[in-house]
Amino acid sequence: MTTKTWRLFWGSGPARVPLQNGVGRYVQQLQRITFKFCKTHGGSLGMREYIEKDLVEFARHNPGVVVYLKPRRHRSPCLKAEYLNGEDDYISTQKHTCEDIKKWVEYLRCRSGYPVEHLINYHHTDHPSIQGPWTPWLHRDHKLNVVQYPNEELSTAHKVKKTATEELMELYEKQKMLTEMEKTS
Amino acid sequence: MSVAGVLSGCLRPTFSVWRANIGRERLASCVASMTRLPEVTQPPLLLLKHATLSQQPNLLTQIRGLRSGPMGWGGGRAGVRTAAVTQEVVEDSEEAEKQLSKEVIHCVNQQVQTGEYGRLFAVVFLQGKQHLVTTGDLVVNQGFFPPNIGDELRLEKVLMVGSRDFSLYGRPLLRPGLVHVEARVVEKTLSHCRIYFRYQRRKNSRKSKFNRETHTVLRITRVEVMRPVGEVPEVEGIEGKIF
Repeated sequence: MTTKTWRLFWGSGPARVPLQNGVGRYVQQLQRITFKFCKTHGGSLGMREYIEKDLVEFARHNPGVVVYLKPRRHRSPCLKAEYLNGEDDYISTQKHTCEDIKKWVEYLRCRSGYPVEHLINYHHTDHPSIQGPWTPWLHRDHKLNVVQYPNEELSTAHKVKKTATEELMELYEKQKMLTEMEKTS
Repeated sequence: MSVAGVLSGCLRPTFSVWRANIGRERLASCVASMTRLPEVTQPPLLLLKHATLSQQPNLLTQIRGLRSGPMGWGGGRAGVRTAAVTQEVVEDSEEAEKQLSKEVIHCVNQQVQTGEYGRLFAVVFLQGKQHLVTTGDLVVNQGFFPPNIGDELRLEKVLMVGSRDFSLYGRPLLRPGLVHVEARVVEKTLSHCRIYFRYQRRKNSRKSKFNRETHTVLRITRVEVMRPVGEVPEVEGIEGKIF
């Protein structure tokens, strides 16, 4: 499987959350969770242990979630979660331990219901700019707006090095200043 | 005076350095006040100043001065034309700059007190990354993050806050309690499966690893300036502490 097919398999999209969740208050998205298991098979051992130990506590802490138990003879165990936006999620728990199942239940509880995607950006905003987008004319001199082109001054090359005349002039100025200072002192 | 010069005059030695970018008309009034103030007769100082070679500033030099980057800032880049040493009378503009910064602080504080600043944005530091956020944004935090769904957090490491008319910068953080940035955990999920595949040809060796990291989606619920700026409180460092 190449990277491209892997990407196509997962799909890609921006970070999103259903129905502006969390703007006023947070609404839990998980609505129903079904535990499917066999009463006799060894593959459902961890699931049966979870049901005995932790399921009541889970139901008590999540009053907004409906919990179903569905025993099925000689079939492998799984978790089925249904969300507020109509999506559902299925996780096979064949031969999983109690701790593993606990983690997967927690994973299903915290999700929003949208399918897992390759995120193309990790930040989403409805207000991309508040002080206005940057332009090449930002903080530039307003005089540039009324310059008439072609302009000789603006189209000259940047002088990088000093010319010999300029250096001489500078030396002369320095000398003049020194002599003045000597005179005054 | 250039805009950059005006802004640099606003730097103050408080705990959070702030620079105010005021609206255009206010900036104009501030600049006007700058030109007004030196009328107060002060003895001109005789200073040695590094001036540009061309004595009268023409358009070209002004534009060059406005350019960002090493050219405009007069950095010591090798080969760049350096200034000649000349002597001239320079007016002391310290008082005027102080006055200007006072005015700018006043402008910002007025907006803060009346709540006229509109929508704010902030740069917050979260788990090793900086995010530029406003109210209603979604931020995805990658990796281990303890908060659970429905939890409300206050993001305390605020590097910067800005509105339409002004920007406050911290060095590196703004004073705690100046800005409130609050977020709510909306979702905790796992990322898509990432493959790490190593293969050496002709060596009969290949390794593959699969990883799904935790993603925590945060909704930014509030960005607000709580106090007037430019004031150092009497007691500091006891924010959120219980005695």
